Amino acid sequence: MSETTTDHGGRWPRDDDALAEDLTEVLRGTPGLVDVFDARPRREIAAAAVEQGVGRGLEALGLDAPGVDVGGRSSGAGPRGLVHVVRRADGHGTATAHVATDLAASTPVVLAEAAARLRRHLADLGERPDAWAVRVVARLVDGEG
Amino acid sequence: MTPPDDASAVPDGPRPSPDDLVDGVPLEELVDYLDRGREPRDPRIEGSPACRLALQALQRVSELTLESLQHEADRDPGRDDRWISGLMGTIAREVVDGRAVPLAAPAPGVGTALTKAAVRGLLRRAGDAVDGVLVTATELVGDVTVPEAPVTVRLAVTVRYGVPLADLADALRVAVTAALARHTELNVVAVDVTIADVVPPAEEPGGAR
Repeated sequence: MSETTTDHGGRWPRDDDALAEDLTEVLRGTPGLVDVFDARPRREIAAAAVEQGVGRGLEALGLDAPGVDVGGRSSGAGPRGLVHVVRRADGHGTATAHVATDLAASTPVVLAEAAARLRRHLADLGERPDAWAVRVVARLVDGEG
Repeated sequence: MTPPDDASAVPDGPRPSPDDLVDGVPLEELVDYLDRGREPRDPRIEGSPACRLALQALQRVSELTLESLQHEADRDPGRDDRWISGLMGTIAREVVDGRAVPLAAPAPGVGTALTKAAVRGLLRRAGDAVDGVLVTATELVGDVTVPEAPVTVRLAVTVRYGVPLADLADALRVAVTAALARHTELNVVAVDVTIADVVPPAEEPGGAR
């Protein structure tokens, strides 16, 4: 099981997955942000890919297995939660996002707004914003000059 | 054309190999994907920032070299292939540089940054947008991970014959400085431009240049 889902402070693993999905959707609405990339560590992505592959295989056989998601992620649409969420037992957490920004926008402004949106969403969910470290990294500046 | 006899004008590291990988994807596969118009969409490539950066650069290489290098490729395909493969290898190395180039924290508990690869992609974009220029290599000299640390930008470029080089270097400096000021907080103290190669203008119909 991935780091995201083992370090969840007593919550069900799906909580962090759902939070990652929420935060990904929040990011997608940021002006000047043109894409969200998978920020999970490579080993975690690889583990998820194996899991998806197992899921697809089971699905093809008409089977199911506990703990294997054969839903949306097996549709070929890719992972839905691209923000890497790590929540600790003491209530602290980190949310890391990797994004592409628009060439026509100012990247520092876009990243600051993206981070602010993530923090607001965490607060809306009842999380203590000061307990979370939010990191947003531009991996690409894209778009037409 | 005067492509170098070897890839020495495309600096920065060992010779490229046909097996150069970008985020696990062979360069050749990226070129083929680009040739197909990025269809059908490949999530493995489109979901990789490094592959996207490489596609950006390769797209511009394709556009810019077709007009000015094609006749040379016809005349001496071996030399041109070496030049192109050297350039592609340099691009492959630049797009995977994941070191963080930090921005000022907009709030407590918040960190924002660009990767060095993203910044080098910006340099390529800005340089390639200058008429008559193809950026062959980029480098950021200085500790980009430390805010306010002095940084020198180094660009190696291929230029079209006949363009005044001093004017071109000035245009490059303006373009690069503007791009970095808009998208980063780097303390750029110099932009060094090296003319690594000069190519003749594309042949006009009828053979005139």
